[in-house]
Amino acid sequence: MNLLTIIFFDAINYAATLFLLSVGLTVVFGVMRILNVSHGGIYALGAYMGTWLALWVLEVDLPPVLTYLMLLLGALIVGFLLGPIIERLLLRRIYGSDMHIQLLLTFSILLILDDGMKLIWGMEPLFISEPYSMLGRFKVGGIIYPWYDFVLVGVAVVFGAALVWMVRATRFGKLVIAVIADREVSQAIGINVNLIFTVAFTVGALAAALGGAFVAPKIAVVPQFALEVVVLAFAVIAIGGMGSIEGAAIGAIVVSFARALAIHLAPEVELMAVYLIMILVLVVRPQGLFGEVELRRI
Amino acid sequence: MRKISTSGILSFALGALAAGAMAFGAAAAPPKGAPKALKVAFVDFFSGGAAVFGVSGKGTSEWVVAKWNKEGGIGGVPIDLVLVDEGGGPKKQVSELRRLVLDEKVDAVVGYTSSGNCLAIAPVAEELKVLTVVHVCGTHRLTEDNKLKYVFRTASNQAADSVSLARYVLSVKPDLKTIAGANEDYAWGRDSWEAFKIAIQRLKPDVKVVAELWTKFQAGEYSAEISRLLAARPDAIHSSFWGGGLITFIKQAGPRGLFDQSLVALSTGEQVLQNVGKSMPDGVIAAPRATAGFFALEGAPGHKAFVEAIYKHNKRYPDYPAYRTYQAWAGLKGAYEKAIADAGRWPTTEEVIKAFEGLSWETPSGTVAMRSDHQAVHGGLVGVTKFSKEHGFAILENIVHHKAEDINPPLGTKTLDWVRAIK
Repeated sequence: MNLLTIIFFDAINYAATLFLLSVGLTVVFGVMRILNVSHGGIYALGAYMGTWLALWVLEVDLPPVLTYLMLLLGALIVGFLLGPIIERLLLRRIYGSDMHIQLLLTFSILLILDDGMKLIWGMEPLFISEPYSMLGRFKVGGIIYPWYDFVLVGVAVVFGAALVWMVRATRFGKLVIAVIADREVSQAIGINVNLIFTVAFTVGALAAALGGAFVAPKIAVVPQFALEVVVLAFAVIAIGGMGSIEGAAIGAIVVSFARALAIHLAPEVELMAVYLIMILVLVVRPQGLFGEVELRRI
Repeated sequence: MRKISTSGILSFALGALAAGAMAFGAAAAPPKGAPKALKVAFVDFFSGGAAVFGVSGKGTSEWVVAKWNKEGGIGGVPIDLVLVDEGGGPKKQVSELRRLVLDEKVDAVVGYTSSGNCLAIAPVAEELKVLTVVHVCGTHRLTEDNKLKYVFRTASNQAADSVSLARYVLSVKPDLKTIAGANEDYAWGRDSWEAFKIAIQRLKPDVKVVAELWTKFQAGEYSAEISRLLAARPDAIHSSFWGGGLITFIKQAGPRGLFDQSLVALSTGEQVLQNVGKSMPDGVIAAPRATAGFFALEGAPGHKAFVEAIYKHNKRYPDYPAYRTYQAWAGLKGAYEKAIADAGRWPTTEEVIKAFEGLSWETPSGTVAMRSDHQAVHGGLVGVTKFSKEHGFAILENIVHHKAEDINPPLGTKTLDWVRAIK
């Protein structure tokens, strides 16, 4: 029982990080049909910007509690600035192009972002730990957890719920669903598809930046740290179904439970467990757990 | 006004010329057949979680090459430094090495931090016949699984770290009963844990292993591993995590009380002290991988000057990658200079190799000796962390120095066989 509780907490904790990392990827793919490889770069930039601002708060001796605000501010700056810039200046030119053009372009953006971060912040890790330890800790099943881990769960739940609400309960959401269903018809009936795309990409970028900024206090923020993580995000959305917000949540939970179970019960298979599940899901349901079969249009 | 005679001017000019010659290369003219420059690539991580190593290695290489070039280079030939990123995995490094040799036409390569990379490039370096000086990579398999001619390692292998940590753990906790390991799932992590486990169980046979955890290379998440270690409650934990991965582990494990619950031994712990500041708890066993450490200045002559110069250049005290980088460059220089003296002209690569085997050279950590199996051996130190107000981060105290012969297998003995027989 004790062990199951620990596995549950470990899994939920990691699922929050994975959800924040992958939900933006799935939103962008769902609306724009673009596999955004630069997502990891935006995630990293969120981490750098948030940490940099939070470190500034500590340097000028402002109350440390403001570091949380700075993490949020860092994510908002990156999401709201970078999202529209990348979409309007670059992606807009390649809609309708082959998948390989999209991959090349978004991969180039990733490389540019990575080098940009190196130029600005150098190769030394940015290090801040106060936000992670400041909130105190609690014990479950004899194991200590920092409260911050559950702040992350909160951020993930609130952001996920806001996205679902936006898509399901607002006029804007209905327009997004219309664009997903048929881009040309939506345009023909007067929906501003370009605006929908800009907003969708900005939401995706914001999700990535939020994930990066709030994970930063518990990791070493170093150049290219997001490259490894983003591979896992692709596994998450492949399991959950590409383009589905609920799918990203379920995918994150499945991957996290697989990993936590492996670490506690069979550490030798930890690295394999996630991808084994991905293969199993794709064999049984190639479109992922929540994905929809795409109809071929004539 | 006093008149200056022509002979006075002449003797002043001659004196100035002589002084200039002494300053710019007491250095005689380059030996016969010398190239215009010795092109040497330095390969280390400049991206990813391991980039903290590259920062030190790159800075130290730039400093030492600039210093020697000012003094006349190697045998009067300046060094042309080419910097290469070690990121991207072993396959990429193999192609990079081919590019360096075939396209860039480098004369030698210094570098390779990752054990996965050094194992991958060694056979290719042999095939390409390029003199390769490995500086940080720790797996014992580099020199034991390969018949090396062109590849040298100028620092002790991981056994030195694992054995010295095992001895230190038992000296701190003589009643040790249980241990656990958290290591990366590739050559370095596997070999380090294997040697540590064997050493501990050899020195105290009743010690039991309660958890063996394997993570991805430079993983950014260890929460579940930390829970597992907290649940297993081992007396001591061994980890060879390094670079960004180790920083993340310390960040995540500290607030969760792992360092309070178990005695933790970090084989590369010294390298991140300057990065993690106050987050490194006191009482953690750490080592600068058998090098001296900037905080223990009683090393070789010139140690203090080295620490000051590196601090000035890198804006960071020399950590063990800095020491090991210097060891590699100094070994290469020593081998070339000996080969030039032996041949009386610019030597061939094979003549440099002959000079390298059996060479001893001085470094800030002390004397390093290169054996005929192309594995260098040297002594080292281990200590426990203690926060230093003066530095603003933890340094090591209760330092124990080990002689080279106590932490390195003798020539001809396989590392793990030697560890199985230590006393």
